[in-house]
Amino acid sequence: MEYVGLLGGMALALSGLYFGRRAAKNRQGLDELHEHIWRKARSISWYFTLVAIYVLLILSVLDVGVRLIPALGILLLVHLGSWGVAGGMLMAKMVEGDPGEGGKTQLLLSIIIGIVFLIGFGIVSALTGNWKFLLFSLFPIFTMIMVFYAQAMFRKRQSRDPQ
Amino acid sequence: MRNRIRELRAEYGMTQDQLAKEIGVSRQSVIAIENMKYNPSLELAYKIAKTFRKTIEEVFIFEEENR
Repeated sequence: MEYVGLLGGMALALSGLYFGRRAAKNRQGLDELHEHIWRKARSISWYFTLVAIYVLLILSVLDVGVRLIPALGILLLVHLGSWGVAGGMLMAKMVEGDPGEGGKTQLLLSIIIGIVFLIGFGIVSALTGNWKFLLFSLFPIFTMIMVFYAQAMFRKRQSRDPQ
Repeated sequence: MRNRIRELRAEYGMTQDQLAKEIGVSRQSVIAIENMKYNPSLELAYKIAKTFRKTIEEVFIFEEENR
């Protein structure tokens, strides 16, 4: 079962990366701004990873046993999650002020944040064996994405019908 | 760094999309550069200036920060 998660996760991530880059290449998205943003996001994500390592070390000193595999999973989540969120936020900052692009980027960012929270609550649920954590996280995450979606649609409509 | 890209685009009747295609970047990059959120590389600045048949100094205006 673990192999399914490990290999399936990796296959999904790699195919997502491949198709994402192909789509971006088609609209000339792999340009210097893209490189700049994702390089900066990776650098920011290392700060979050360092904090996560430190927190895990403190937990170990306090004798709160987090086993090796969950700890590595948490580090992976924090690193990749903060990388994605930081990249999304930097991109949103770059295009803020533009009604169409700003809304789209904000929506994408909300989806990334939603997925990160979902995985986070999934890990907490798996660690505690209480699936209510995951269940109760669904509604706020779904609401957040819907709010961002409504905002994006509103901005798009506003940009189409100038006052 | 200030720039006159929006003004020059209007002068040439060019959309952000057209300029982006011309210089080989995404529309988001043009938005970021126009809004002065991102300073392009020398190479990209040269391509932008060349599109408008201007020199880099005519498109990008260096402003020293107040110290």
